Amino acid sequence: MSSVSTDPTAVPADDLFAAYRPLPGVYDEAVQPDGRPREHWRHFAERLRSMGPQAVEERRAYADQYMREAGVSYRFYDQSQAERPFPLSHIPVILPEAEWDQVAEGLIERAELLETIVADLYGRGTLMRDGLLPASLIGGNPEFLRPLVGVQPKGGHFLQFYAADLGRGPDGRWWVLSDRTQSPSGAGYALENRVAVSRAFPDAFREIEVNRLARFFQVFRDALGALAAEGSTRVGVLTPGPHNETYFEHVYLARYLGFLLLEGGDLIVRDGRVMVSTVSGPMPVDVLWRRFDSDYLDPLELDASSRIGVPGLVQAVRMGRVALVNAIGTGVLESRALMGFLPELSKALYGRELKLPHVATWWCGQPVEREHVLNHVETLAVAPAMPGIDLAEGNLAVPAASLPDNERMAIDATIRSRGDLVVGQELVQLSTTPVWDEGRLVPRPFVVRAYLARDGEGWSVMPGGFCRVADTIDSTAIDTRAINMQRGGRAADMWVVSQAPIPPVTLLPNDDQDYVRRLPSTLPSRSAESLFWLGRYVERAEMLLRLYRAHAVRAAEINAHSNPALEAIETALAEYGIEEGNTIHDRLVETIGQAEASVSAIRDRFSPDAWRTLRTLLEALESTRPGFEIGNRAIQAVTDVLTRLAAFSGLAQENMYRLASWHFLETGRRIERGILIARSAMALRLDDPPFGTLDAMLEISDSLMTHRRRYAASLSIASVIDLVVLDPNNPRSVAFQVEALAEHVDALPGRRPGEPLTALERAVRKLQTDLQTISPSEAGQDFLNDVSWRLGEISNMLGATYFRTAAQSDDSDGQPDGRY
Amino acid sequence: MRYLVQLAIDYDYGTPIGAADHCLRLRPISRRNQIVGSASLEIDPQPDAIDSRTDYFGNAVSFARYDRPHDALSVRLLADVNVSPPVSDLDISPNVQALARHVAESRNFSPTSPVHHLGDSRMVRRSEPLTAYAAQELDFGSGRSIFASALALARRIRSEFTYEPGSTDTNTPPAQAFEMRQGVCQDFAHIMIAGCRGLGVPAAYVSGLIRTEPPPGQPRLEGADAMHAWVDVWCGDALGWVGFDPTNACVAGVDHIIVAVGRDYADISPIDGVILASEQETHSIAVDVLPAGD
Repeated sequence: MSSVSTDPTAVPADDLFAAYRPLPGVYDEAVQPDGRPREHWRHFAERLRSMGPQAVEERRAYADQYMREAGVSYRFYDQSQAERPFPLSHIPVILPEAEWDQVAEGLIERAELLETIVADLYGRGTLMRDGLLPASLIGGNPEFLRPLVGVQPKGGHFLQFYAADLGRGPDGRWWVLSDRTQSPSGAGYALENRVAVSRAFPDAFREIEVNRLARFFQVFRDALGALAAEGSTRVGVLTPGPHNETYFEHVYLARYLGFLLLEGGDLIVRDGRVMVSTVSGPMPVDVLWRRFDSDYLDPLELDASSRIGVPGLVQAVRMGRVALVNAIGTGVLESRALMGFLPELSKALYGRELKLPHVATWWCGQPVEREHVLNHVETLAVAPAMPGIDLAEGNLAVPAASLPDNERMAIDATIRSRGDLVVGQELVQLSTTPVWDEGRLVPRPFVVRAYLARDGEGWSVMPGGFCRVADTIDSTAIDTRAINMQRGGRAADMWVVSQAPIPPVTLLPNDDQDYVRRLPSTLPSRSAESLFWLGRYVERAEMLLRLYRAHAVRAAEINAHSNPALEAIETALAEYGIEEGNTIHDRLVETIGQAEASVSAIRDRFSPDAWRTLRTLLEALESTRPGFEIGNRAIQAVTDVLTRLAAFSGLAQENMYRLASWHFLETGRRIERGILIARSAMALRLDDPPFGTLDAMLEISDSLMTHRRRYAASLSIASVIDLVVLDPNNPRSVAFQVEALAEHVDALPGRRPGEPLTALERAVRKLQTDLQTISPSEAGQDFLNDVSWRLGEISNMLGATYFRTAAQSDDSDGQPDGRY
Repeated sequence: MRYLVQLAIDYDYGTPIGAADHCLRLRPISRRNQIVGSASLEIDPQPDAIDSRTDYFGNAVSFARYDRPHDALSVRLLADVNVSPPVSDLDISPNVQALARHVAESRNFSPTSPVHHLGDSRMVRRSEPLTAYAAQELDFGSGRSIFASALALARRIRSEFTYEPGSTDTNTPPAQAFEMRQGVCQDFAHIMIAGCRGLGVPAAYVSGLIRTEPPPGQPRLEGADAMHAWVDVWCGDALGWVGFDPTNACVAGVDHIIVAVGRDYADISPIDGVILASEQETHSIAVDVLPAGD
């Protein structure tokens, strides 16, 4: 351990930096080798010191809480497949602006070089002809997508959004570790990290001149807007869907930038135009910011097995009708083998050395380089040469010396027989940054992903980045393996600090998080369908619980077996499949699981609080089997779940714009509740009720109190039917549901003013009239059956009108009428 | 040799399907030793949109789209094709080692360049066992020409593998067919391609058709009652691409009509489709390749 000539007595006992020691021979971001904070770190270090460990710990918890509450999550590809809270390292990585500006200059140069290369690969191919790139290197690259050869991207550029992973070596220089040219992830997480960390250390963030991130996103947003047709903002974020590891980020960025969140299934291509199926008909999309690899984008011309792409998308690109960001085929640049050729390319094309070095790379597809790697393998990392290829540890670079003998031999054999798949790379010893770990600061190696966006003026570099910090330190083998989110790394914010005051970006109080623009007034059919079914499932779960509680209350009574109402409730429960062998718990997990799946698909339109309420409820249900089966505990357990469901419904209600989304959610709820009340009334044989079932019906429909107030007299068949079926003022009655349904259906897009009623509207109004005009004595089993059947039909008609994808539509030329 | 080619493919979906996008690679074009006099592709029912073009490797591709429900799809190809003998009797191809070295240094990046068929493709991944198998014939030490070596490899596959329709399907990985030592033309072609590429020898996948009835006194070729597949091996700048048919242990000659060339089956499957709401489907195929006008 290097000695620090500080008088121990001069250091307060809780001085956080007194015990912080960089590793010998390793560059540390915060302190100099003598242990004193670097100039640009001094202010923050002073802040930490004055706070003391106790306060820092509190701030840490505060940031974690923010991340949890914002629903920032990341899907892990392990057995659980779970989405977990994002692991955040709370201490920012801090860099002086002047240093970052130099890095940025190098990155811009690199982005330009990559743009030139990719344009040539899909264009004239001169780099191969001139011997600057081996033809076999590109010919064997799985991301060289031949259908795109000769296709000029709309807007003229292949790369609009580029990222590079950087690390700092022992000599203090920054190195490029890899290039991200398809759809770099992490920028959204960088934003969230910024919010969390700036809230944890608000005073420090205020005092230190930290460059803001918002401006960078504005540039990017406006650049994509400029690619769209004149006067249009039809830009979509194309996501693979909720099962992707970074789905949270897709949702977040779509919301933040005001773009539509789209899945392949939302889109069709007609005459070279990409159209999104919405509840108002197909609407054109001009720009797609894709969030997955090129080869999956079009099952017709690219990977035919893709289920997340859009048939015909390549043709739309070819016809210049849609801009893909980045262009399809740019993944060819993510080849590590290419890195080995960049220095020479820079010299040949620009006549100069690259400003920003990258990790030395040898492609084993060439005999001389292959020999070099074979002879020095112990001191090198080995990695797949091309994207989409797996080696010892997936697509990661691994120090050969760290591998067990059998794996090393296998890699050796691969280098000899299929060297084109392998590169050798120089081992990089990364710099360290302080991490808060159990009450103290410890140095941990990290890498940073830097982001660049292009607009008409050229490239902009985000003054910040997404840092990944290793959880443990192994000074013998610091390598990028340790810094993989899937393997337990943490994320950190990066502060690029200025000497000069940073002008506050004054869009909104929280400029880094919330600049809001109007939500696009387009509701994709898929989202509408998810909302509708969410409404139905939540209502179903609630009714199921009410029925079960009514059952549990009676089953716990003495002489329960002779209570005829119990049998009637069992008949009602049997309609949900709850009979012998099937427990309420299974059905609940299933129903609430379906509701949760619906929410997952539409998180861009949903309150994170509401989503989290449902998610937590489901997790609680899945992890324990609350005492649903036993007497009084069952009643308590059911009541608990009901309360939490009510919390969800309340949050969903309170936080939704009264736009089409909300109408679809409500439509689903009303239809489901109407059907279930009618079906329960039938099961309880309200027209000829066994003893005690009238009570049970009021209980199930939560109408006991109302009944007591409205009908002072005792229970009668007519009073109960009137209250739970026909009374338009009882929010639990069938009639109330249909009245509400009529209002929601009126508000849905479809009919133009002055046109005759649609079949759907007619069906709803007829039902409304029948409920208004029938007397309680006529509303028997047949009537209830008819009502529930007609509500089912209305549900089908909604599906046929709004939820069909445009591909199934007969009238694909229909003009959107934008009524909402 | 002049042929009249008739191909009929029929799909019966059982129930009507809503919308579908198809990609058809069935129409032969004039290339190398074959001249296509006329070729027509008819699709029934009439697609709502159809778009024909040429892909990167020069194959004719048609994209057909249906918006309306339909319960069947039928495709008819009628073509008049003249095939002349492909290679001279003179084997002027380099030995395997020289060829592999030459290709690795190639600067040719045109669509017909061998470099496109050297690395792994969607369905064909090189592996030690397949490379070792091919190395028995494509021997770096022997100095034997690539032409002679590739023909020997095609013959070895024919003699050591069992042609067994139904034992594999169009998604079977070559390594699996190799393990089983059986399969159909697609599997044999993939196995040969993987082996060649493993040794640095470019090899491409050819889908095509072969003469239905043999000339008098010769045995009927396998694969004549459906689409056939064989392998193009790069035999150096002088000979160029030469077809080898491992299913029939021969050089692809006047009996072979090329429909499409790609890196493997996934690049050029005769009919690809994206069908919404597809149910049980059945399909049938009928091929006639008959000598005409001699």
